[in-house]
Amino acid sequence: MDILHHMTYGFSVALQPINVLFCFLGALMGTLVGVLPGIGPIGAISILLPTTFHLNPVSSMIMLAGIYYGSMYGGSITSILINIPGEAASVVTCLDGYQMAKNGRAGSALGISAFGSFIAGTIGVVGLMIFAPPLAEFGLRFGPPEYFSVILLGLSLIIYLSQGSRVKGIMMAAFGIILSCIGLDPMEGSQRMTYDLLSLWDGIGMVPVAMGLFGIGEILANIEESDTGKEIFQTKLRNLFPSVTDWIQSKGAILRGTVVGFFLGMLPGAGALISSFLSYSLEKKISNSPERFGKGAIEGVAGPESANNAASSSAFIPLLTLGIPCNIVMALFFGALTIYGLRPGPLLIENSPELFWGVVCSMYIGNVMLLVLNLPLIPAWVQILKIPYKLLFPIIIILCIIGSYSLNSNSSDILIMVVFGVLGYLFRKFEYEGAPLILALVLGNIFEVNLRQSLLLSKGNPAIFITRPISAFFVSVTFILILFPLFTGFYRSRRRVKDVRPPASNGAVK
Amino acid sequence: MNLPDLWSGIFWLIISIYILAESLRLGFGHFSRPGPGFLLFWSALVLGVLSILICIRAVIVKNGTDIKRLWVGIGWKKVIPVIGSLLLYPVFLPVIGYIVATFCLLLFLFIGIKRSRIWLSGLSSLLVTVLSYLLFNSWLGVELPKGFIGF
Repeated sequence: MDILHHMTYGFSVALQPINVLFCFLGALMGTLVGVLPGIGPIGAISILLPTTFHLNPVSSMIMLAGIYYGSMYGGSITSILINIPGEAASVVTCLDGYQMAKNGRAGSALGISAFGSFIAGTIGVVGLMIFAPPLAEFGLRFGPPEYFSVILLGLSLIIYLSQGSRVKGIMMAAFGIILSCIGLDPMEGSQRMTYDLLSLWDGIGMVPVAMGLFGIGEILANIEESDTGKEIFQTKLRNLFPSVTDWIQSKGAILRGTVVGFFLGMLPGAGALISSFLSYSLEKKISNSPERFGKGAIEGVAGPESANNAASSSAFIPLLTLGIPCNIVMALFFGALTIYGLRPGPLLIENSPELFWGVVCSMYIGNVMLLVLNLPLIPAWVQILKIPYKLLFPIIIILCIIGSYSLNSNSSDILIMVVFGVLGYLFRKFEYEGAPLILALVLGNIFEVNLRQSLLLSKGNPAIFITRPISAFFVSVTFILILFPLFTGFYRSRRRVKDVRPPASNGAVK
Repeated sequence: MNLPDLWSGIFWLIISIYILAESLRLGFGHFSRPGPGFLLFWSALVLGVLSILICIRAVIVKNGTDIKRLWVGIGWKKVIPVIGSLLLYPVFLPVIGYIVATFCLLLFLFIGIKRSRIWLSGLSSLLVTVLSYLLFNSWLGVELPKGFIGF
C-alpha cells in the first residue's frame, strides 16, 4: 500500500505539465544523442547539465534521466542501419542487428529493439520502486568505514571491468583521486595545489573534465581521420511491428536480458555496456542454434537491447539510495545533485520524496514516449545520420564551451576543458581510459573524508574497515576482485607450461 | 620495447614524484589524525609504483610498438590548429565577448579545418552563434560575456 501511495504522489509530480515537457525534451534529446555517433550520453549530459541550473532540481533530473535512457533507445538505430554503434552499450547490437537489416529485416530489428527496450525499461522502473526504499533504509546503517569500503569496491569494479590494461586503469583512478584533492582541504580548510589561483579554490570541476575527456577528446580523435562517408543501409523500412514469430523467438531473450541488465546495472562499474555483452553471450550459449548468431539472430538484438535499458533504470538505485554512483553517467548525476544542493544518499528519499518518486514515475512516462517517438520517427533519425560531421563537430564544440563557461561564468573552466580534451585525445593514443579517472574525481572527496573520519574514529587503527561487518564484506569483495585476475593468470600460465612440456621418455618423470 | 608505454610511464612517474613531494609539504599527519597530504601521498605512491611497472613492462616486451606508429596517418594539420584555437578562445572571450569570439572560432573551424565554402561557412557560423546566444543567454539565462564591444 505504501508503494501505491508513493506512486500516486510520484505521478502527481511527474504529470505536471512542465515535468512532462522536460521528460519529452530529455527523451527526444537522448534519442538524438544516441543516434549520432561521436557523442554519447556522457557528453550530452555534461554539455546540457549547466543549462539545468536555472530549472528546479526535479525537472532537471527528469530531463537528464530522459537523456540517459533515451540514448539507449537511439543507439540501436545506427547499430542496425549503419553498423556503427550510436553509443557504447549498442556495440553488441551491431553484430546481429546490421545482419538482420542486410537480410531485409531492418524493420523487425528496429521494432523488437524498441519494444524490448520498452518492456525492459518498464520492468526496470518497477524494480527500482521495489528495491530502492528498503536499500535506502539499509543505507542508514552506513558510517564512514562502510562508505569508504563501498566506494573502494566501486573504483575496483570499474577498473576490473575496464576494457584496457588494468594497471593503467588503476593509475587513472589514482590520478583522479589526486585531481579531486585540488582545492580546499575538506576537513582543515587549507589550500592544496591551488597555486594562488582563485578558480582552483573549489577544485577542478567534474563537468569541464568530463566534457574535455569525452567531448573534445572524441572530436579531436574524429577530425584527425579523413572524411569517409558512412553508408546507410538503403532499405524500405517495413513492418516495424514484430511478427508473432519474432515475439516467440524474442520473448525469452527480452526477459533474460531484463534480469541480467537490472542486476548488473546496480553494480558499481558494471553498467549498460557490460550488461549488453553478457546478455548476448548468454543468449548465444543457451540457444539451440548458436550458429545463427552473428548472421541475423533476433535474440542477439532483443537480449542486449533489453539488458542495456534495464541497466539504465537500475543504475539509479545505488545513487539515490546509498549516494554511490555506479557508472560515469551516474557520477554526473551525483555531481548534478550536489550542485542543486541535494545530498544523494539514504536520506534523499525521506528529505526529497518529490525528487525520488517524481523521477521514478517520469521514467514510466518517458518509456512510453520513447516507444511512440522511436517507431514513427525512425525515417527522420535516418536523415539526421546524413548530416556531415564537418557541420556537427563545431556545434558540439560550442555546446561544450557554453557548458563549461556557464558553471561559474569563468573562462578558466573552458581552459580546463580544453586541457583535458587534449589529455583525452592523448589517452586514446597511449591506451589509457578516462572512465576510472572521472569516477575517482567525482568520488575522491567523499572517499577522502570517509577515510579520514574512519581513522579518526578508530584512533588510527585500519582494522576498523574489517571489524565492522558491512565494511568487511565490501573490503573482502574488493580483495577478491583484485586478487582473482592474478590467480587466474598464474593458473593459466601453469597450465600452459604443463601443456607444452614434452612427454617424458622411457617412463622417467620430469 | 614498447616506446609509447615507456614514455607514458616516465611521464606518470614524474607526476607522482612531484605529488609525493607536495603531499609531504602539505602534511601527511599520522594514521590517528591524517593530514591534508595523507590521501595525496598514497595515491601518488600507487601512481608512481605502477608507472615504474609500466616502464619495466615496456622495456622487457619483445614485439614492441614504435612511438611513431601512434602518429602515422594523423591529420596534424587539423588537430593542432583546433587545439590552438581552443586554447586561444578563453583568452579572447572576456575581451571581445561571446558573439565575436564564437563567430571567429566557428569561421576558423569551418573554413580552416573542414575547407567549406566561404559564404557557407560565414552563414553557418553566424547562424550557430546567434542561435546559441539566443538559446542560452536570452532563453536559459546563461550570462555570456559581452566584451568591450558591448554585445
